[in-house]
Amino acid sequence: MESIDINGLTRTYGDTRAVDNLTFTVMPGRVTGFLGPNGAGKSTTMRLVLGLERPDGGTATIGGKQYADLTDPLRQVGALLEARALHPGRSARNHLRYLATTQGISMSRVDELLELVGLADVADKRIKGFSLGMGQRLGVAVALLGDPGVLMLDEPVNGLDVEGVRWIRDLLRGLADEGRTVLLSSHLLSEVAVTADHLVVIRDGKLIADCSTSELLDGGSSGAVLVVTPEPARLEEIVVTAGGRVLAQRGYSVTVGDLPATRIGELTARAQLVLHELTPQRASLEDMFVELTAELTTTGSAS
Amino acid sequence: MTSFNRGIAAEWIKLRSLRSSWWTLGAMVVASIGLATLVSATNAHGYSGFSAADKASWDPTNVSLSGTVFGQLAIAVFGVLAITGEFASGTIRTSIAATPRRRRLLAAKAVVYGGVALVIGEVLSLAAFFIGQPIIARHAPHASFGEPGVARAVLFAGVYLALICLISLGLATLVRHTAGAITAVVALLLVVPAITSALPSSFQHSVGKFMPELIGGNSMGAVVPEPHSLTPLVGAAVLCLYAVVMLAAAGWALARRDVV
Repeated sequence: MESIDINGLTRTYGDTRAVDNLTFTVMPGRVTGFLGPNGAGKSTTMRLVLGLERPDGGTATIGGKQYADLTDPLRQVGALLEARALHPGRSARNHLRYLATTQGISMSRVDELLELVGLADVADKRIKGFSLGMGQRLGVAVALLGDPGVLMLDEPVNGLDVEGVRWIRDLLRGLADEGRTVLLSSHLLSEVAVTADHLVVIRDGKLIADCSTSELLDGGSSGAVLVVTPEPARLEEIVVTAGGRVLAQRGYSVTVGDLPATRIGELTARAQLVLHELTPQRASLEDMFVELTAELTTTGSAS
Repeated sequence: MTSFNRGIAAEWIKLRSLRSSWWTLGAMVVASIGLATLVSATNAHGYSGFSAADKASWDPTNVSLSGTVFGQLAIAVFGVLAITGEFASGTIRTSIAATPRRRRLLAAKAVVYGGVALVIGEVLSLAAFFIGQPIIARHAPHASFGEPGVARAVLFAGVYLALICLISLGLATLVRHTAGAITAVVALLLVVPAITSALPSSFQHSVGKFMPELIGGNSMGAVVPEPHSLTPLVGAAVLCLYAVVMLAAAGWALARRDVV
């Protein structure tokens, strides 16, 4: 199975760098969570992979090839971009049929997929009347139509009910276990942490973390300490000298890693540095995500 | 099947699976035949009161093809919706993901929509002719299909509609929005010729004959030659050139632009 290789990818809209020198690889056989707050550049990255937009710099390839050079691309890459990339006046079956026709895929595969995503009963109804969740299911059917080795899904659980969310998790897990390459984007860490083996986190188009899910989770509760001091520069000096690291800093708040709170207390007392707060962090998943995507002064614990 | 043929088959499924396609074509058939019948009847009624000059330029074939004025608008909308429907619904992303060679996507659309427009255009022109002539015959000289130039005028009227469909498809691919594209096509077909006719006659005579609408009415669909117009073959060639240029520009823009 093929990997998705993003290399130095850059895309600018006017003055905004939507994707900024992004480099990462999505490996086969696992689910890679693609995380970032809304507007971080996840969707743009996916559109660049699909060749819907052109990069200003860098490359995005699938198994070493540009998407546009793939023959019958839907047989190699399945993508769910947005639920509503569907004509409201067309039926679900006809939508799948024309796509299948472009790729030389049999009509029996269309019926099979309608069954799989649970739309067989409404297959001949116009998409106009579909709920958001039904639209998502049809989008998943489009992505799976060509039985592709690479799958890219942008916020697929949007609009799905609890049952739908579990269904899609199990589905993606199964596809990755078959050796496929699965990239799953979300702006909520909790949504992908359950499913993803690996996480790629971006913010403002830049890579913030590219590590296994367990690494990120452990990293979050491995004793980062929040220190508030009127002299953050001195604190940093003390921390770094003692072998610790500044993970994040915002104003007077400094998140320190690799040093326990007790040791920070001793060091700062010895240096007569005033502290207003010294709190070991027990980050929840969401906190950690916010922390990761907040403005960082350093690259943080994940690299 | 080659991938281009599969693209054509897919466009055919897309066209058939939307009610708007059938509504547009249905409106075209009804409006054109209705208008052709009406114009044939009123013109034939007036024939006895015509001046000698008007009688000399009496072109019963052309009169029975008058429905083209409406037909061209319906066929233009048909050509516009072929692509703007995809931009509006976002289907264009899916279509391009399936066919990353975007010019090929546009070419498949041109084959399918142009082909359907040609078939419908011919059926419509033949129907208008054979419905119109008996009505005309009651009060004025009529034409029969075997007379010189008549079959050509009737068949070219159908070709005209197909070319208008292709020009509209190209223009709409450039404009991307339904309302804007329809406005542009209507301006091209009706407003520009109207403005031209308000200008000094020397200008009218030199420029007017290149207007698509006048190529359709005065060159391609005429048996009795109109003054200051292109011959049928030259007219058809000029209109083909417009279609080719428009589709080439559309292909260039579609291949270059981002699909957001």
